[in-house]
Amino acid sequence: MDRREFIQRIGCLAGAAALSPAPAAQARGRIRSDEQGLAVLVDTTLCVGCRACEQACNEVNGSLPRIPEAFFRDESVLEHPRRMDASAYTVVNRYTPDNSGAPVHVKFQCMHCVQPACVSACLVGALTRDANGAVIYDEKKCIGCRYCMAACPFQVPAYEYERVLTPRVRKCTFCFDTRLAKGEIPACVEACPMRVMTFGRRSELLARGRERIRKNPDRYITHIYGEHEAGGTAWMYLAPAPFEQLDFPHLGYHPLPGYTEPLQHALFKWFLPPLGLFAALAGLMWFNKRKAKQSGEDTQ
Amino acid sequence: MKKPVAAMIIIAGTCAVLHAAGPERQAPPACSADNSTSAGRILLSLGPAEHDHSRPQIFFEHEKHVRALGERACDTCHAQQPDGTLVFTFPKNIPGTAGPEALMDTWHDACIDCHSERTDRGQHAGPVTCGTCHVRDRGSRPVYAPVLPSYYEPLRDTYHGECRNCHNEPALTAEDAGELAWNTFYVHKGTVTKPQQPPSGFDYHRHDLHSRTLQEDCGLCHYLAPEKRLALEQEGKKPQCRDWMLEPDPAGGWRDEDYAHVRCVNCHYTRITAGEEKAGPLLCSGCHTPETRTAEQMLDVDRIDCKQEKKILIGPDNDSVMAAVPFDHAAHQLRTASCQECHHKDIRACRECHTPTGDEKGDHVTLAQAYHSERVGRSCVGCHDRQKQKPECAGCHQHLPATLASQAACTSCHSGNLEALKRHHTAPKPETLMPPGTKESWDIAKLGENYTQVHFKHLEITRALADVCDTSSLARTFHTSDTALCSACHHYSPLEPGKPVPACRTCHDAESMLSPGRPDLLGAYHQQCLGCHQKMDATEKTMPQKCEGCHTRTDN
Repeated sequence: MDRREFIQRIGCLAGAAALSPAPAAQARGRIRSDEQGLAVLVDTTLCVGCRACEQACNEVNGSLPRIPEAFFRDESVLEHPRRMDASAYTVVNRYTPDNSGAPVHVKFQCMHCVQPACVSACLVGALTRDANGAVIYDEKKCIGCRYCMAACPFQVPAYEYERVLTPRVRKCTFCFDTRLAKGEIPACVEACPMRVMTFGRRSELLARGRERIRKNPDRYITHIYGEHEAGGTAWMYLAPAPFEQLDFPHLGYHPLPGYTEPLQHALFKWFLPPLGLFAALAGLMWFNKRKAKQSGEDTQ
Repeated sequence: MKKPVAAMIIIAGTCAVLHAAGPERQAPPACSADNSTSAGRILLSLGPAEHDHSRPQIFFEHEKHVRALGERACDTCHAQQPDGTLVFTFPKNIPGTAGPEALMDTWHDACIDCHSERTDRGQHAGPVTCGTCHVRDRGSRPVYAPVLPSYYEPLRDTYHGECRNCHNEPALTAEDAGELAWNTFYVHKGTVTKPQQPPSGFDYHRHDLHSRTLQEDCGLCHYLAPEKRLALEQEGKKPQCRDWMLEPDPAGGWRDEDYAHVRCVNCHYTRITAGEEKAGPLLCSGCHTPETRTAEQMLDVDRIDCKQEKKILIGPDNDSVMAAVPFDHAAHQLRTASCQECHHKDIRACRECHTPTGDEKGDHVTLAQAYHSERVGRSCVGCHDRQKQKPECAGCHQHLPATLASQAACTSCHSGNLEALKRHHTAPKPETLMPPGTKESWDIAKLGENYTQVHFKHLEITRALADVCDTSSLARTFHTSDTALCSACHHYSPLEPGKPVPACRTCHDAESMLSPGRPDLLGAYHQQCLGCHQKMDATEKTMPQKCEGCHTRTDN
């Protein structure tokens, strides 16, 4: 295959790529609301820190290591803030905000973002956002790059570092397969004796959250965390104190994939930028060759 | 002299002197006791920010000096006027019109001379080297941090070149500025700056003490305007509390504490030097005691006889359609620690400054706001709301709407009738409120899987609530309905004595968690019971707050 033939073939390939239909484009980078998605409203003023949710989560999710019941009844666990790890999809932490001596308990788990950064970062599509609002992980597709862990603004995904041969990324499933599929509500929501969490459609819960704040202005700060944070999340929180004091990250309202995807997608748009690069290189090569030829002729 | 002014040291508060020294007004002396480390530390502020300070400011150990020199030796450092009163400036002979460097030299001379003299005499003495007094530590410089809005952040340096560009305070040093409540752009968020003193708390108890010692000579501390004095003499009346007022600022720019420091300390000092048996303390910690008496602890202290009518009708105002509010002044006096819990510096009727439409005298706070603001503890509604946050009240009231949001909000005060003050409802016996045949206690049906049912002691709980209400005069006045006792648990229900109420499960679904806008039965019980237990008994001594306190765990 000589040079001319090579360029012809490349050109054909590029043309074919340009003419072929674009891959199913996801509406990324733009603020998209999902008012009808399934969601949970967490009222942290009600939580007493009994950790029945943690226990229920562990019982329902068979792929998690079994944790003895004594752990969930040990109150000293609350003395230090914890993070989700390979053995727990959810943790309850205790905080003492500045304005009052009363402790506030906060349950953390995957926030199930409306526009998840982890899904955007995943190279192989192991993470997807289900139509009902759950962000789902498929261990069969996962290659273990852990980009999702770096991408998540809430530092949710954990990794099974101990399983050397078959490690998995671990994060809350929203019980999408174990319970939602059967028409049941998530295990933690059902187990909570104080009914801290309310499960429902996102728009409905937002209205309910706003109503609670309006009726009890002294009880809550006027903010529903997750309504707009990082473009909106399925898990939303009401709190008696500023969210920064409860370990919630201060995020903008712009969805995180919106910062990266416009650039990354533009780089390969219609395959034109790579084509342009090849064209420029080819031009340069042609120019250099001609110059060498001319200088050769001159010396002769 | 071209080299930068090394350190222009000004004791913040040499008012008179600094008036002469420059056009800027200086804040008067600040004596602050640091309760975290040693009491009686004073921050010696350096000069205005535009001067380059090569040495950090000094946290001056005032109390240490007083202890070392003896209590009667104030005049070692402070100048004394011919009549014996002290002038709390340092040192004695501050050059009136000289520049900052002369001031610095005077300051250095005074301290270092005294220290070296004492050293020569072999007495315990302070340091003479620069770095021992000018200690550089991280806390000596305040840090300014943005609050909101964050979009001012890029402009921060532009705006903060000079605090005074925006913040309207005369000639403040950065240190003084750190203490101001700046609610405009930025607040101070430093680590350690000016030592904070506990409040001196001049309450009824201290007033009583002074009043007895000084044979009720109000004029020794309070001030009577000359025209007022004349008017009273013509009428042949004695001045009352409302006639006395705060002395007009003698130097200009005095802060609240300056009145106390100049007047109180001078009086105490004069009495000590005159050999009086009863003289007040001179040390910072003598007045700035960390503990303050609560209203309850002061019930046996004599209240000031202010000649105010015990029960008055407040309002109605010119154009107000609301009925007047009967007000028991004596009862309120009994339940406060000082007059200043309601009144400001001077004892005036609220409406004198807070006019119906707002006036500069009253800081543009209207009369209605002064009475009704929920955010301020000084207003009627604000204070009553805070009372309801006490543990014994909060158990029920957390489930009830705030004062102004309740149905009977307006008429419960605006009755227009002094007779209303006589109504004191003692809570009726709970048994009489329940429909006949109500059991004393019963088992609540088992709802969850993991725990046994709860034995609910209805009568015992209602009796306990009735006792709480009976001990609170606020409750006895404002719980006008017999069934007020029942309304927090049996919310949204028609309540009549002796009539049955709807069961919880009428609205709270026992089966499904998805009923809109309200918890299911299990959640309702937990929120109601546990919510109340947590508020009323934070120590968990009498009211269970753990699962096992109410029911026992079954082994699945």
